[in-house]
Amino acid sequence: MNAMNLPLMLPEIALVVLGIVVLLADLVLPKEKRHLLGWWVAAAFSAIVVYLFVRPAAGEPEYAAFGLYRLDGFAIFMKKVFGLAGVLVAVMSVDWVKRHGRAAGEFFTIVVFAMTGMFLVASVNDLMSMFVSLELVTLSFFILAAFRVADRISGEAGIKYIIVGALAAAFMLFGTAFIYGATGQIRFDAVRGAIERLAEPAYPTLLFGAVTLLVGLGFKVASVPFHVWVPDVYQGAPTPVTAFLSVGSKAAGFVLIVRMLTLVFGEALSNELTPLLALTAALTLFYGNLAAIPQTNIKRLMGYSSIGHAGYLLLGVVAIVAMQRGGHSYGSGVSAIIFYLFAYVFTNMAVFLGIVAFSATAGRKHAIDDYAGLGKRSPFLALTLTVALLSLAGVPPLAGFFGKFYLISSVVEASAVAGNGWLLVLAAIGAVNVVVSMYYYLCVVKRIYMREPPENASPILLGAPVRVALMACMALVVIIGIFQGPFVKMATAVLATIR
Amino acid sequence: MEPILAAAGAGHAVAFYAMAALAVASAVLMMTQRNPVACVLWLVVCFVGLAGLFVTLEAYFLAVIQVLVYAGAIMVLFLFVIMLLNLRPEDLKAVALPRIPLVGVVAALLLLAAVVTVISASRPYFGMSVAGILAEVGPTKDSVRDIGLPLFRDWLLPFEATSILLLAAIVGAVALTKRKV
Repeated sequence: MNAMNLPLMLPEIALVVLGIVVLLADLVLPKEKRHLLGWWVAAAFSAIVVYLFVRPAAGEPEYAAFGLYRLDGFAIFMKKVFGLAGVLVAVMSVDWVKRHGRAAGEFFTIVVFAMTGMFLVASVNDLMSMFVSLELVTLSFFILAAFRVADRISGEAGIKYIIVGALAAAFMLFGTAFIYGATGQIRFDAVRGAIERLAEPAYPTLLFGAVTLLVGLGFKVASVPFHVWVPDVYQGAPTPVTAFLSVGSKAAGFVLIVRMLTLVFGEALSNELTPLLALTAALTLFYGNLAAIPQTNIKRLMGYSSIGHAGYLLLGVVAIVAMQRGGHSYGSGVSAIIFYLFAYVFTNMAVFLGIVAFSATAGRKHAIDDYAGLGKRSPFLALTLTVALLSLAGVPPLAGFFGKFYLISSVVEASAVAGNGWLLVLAAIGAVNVVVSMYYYLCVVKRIYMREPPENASPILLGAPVRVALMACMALVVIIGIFQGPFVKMATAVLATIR
Repeated sequence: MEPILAAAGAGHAVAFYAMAALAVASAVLMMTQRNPVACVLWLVVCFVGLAGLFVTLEAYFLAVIQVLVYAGAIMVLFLFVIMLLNLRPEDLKAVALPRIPLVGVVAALLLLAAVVTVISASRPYFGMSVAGILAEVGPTKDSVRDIGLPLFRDWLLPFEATSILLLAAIVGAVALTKRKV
């Protein structure tokens, strides 16, 4: 652990270099070619993902930067997911940046820095790096969300996000300080060791720190009651940024929640955190899904739906904390979260690819009613959007269905293991919400196929890269759904490296 | 490092208390001035007093850094910002702040807590000379090596991540505010 071990951090170093290269290339390229930097970024992200696939798999966790950087199977897996999501975001951004016509190089630089932050988040092993990396992600998103400065809605989204984000950062830092105060340690393993030897009087300090830290992370993953920023920011931010935000911020937050619970807190706080997190999960599920029903703007709808999905992922978190009590194996909660994140990222990306492609032709109002008759205007786009929305709703045999199934069954298992009947109620709430969410997703599908297109509607044109990206996402959504075996195995293999 | 000042005896204590008095007095003056430029200049004096305190505590590196970074660079930045604000004399008139008793009580309690904490923590050292306390606590760890190794080796990762964070913030600020990019 006591070495710098730089080669281990190669992906992060490559990303930083890439960011600086893009920033400098922006100076030399002529203005009308700058949006092409997006292809560079997509290619570089793909190269990094390929490197992560071919590099020898980590058996035991490896450490770099004097133990502050931890590379295990979970970190590598999350980096692959972040990287692939980044490729898709870069692909859908090129067109948007070209139309936007200003600060193209800066846009992609910030995208690369956000990705650097996500890669670091997947690997951090101490409280300080955790805070800084997560803030790198959040700060990049502030900038990207407000990127269309001239537009009032985008500016409003940026300001709202910055204010709420600063509050969340303050909560996180406060929680971190209290955990440090209770244990006197910064590095995750050292904090864990100190918690196991913790004297009784320091316990409330630790609990307060842990809850405050989780509140801060709750902002990032958009769980109720820390969700207020979501609908406005999702609506106001440029659509590719919304896509990035919906998977990046959420996945990064859940990675850290899983890390904190498995590497740091362990069994110690299980009794207190279980009811708290269960209540949060139930509220998040109900709020996200019920508030999505009256929405008329597709990006706002996706915002509320992302709150609902945070609720599902919290089910897995509840399963982890509940099963930690008495030292039971909490594996099924973690592997369910891994499986769900994997499925969610690509499904959500497919929806946003569709929204970007649609709005390029049909205008940027993003009203759900505009989607009327899409089945006739572009059968391919209509099909991919429908498959992705059905997967988000949890219709079998698509990826989203099995994701929800594993999360709910992990809660049921936790209820049996921990002997806590209330958790069955939570599992039932999860199941009820699947039905609720089906309603508003199907309302969109109904408009796509059952309504006539407007009089003067033109066909929707799709560029080749977007078409390929859509196909890849749809293929993944269907394949994960039908052949879950290899993916469940993958999630279990990732799980084995996490402790 | 040999405690050079320990030999100075009474002179050491005089220097310590003089610097402490300078720091506290200039801090009070800083708060009571109406003109912001005068405030900043008193703050510079306060920082010089603190640097002097560091010297009497044998933390020479910290003393130099205090003057270079705080009294030098950061205070110049303050002055620049105040000049950019372009305040007119009528902006500097007295404003009647609302007096809320509850806020006063809370502030007084916090101050009391701070004072009590400091006094109770320094209890073992009551009645000792400054040099005696220094000998008791042990040598100050403030050499360039003591600060550089943790900062640039042990904690390099958060340090570098912070620099990327700042770079992203600068790029973003320019991209969002500049008219022609």
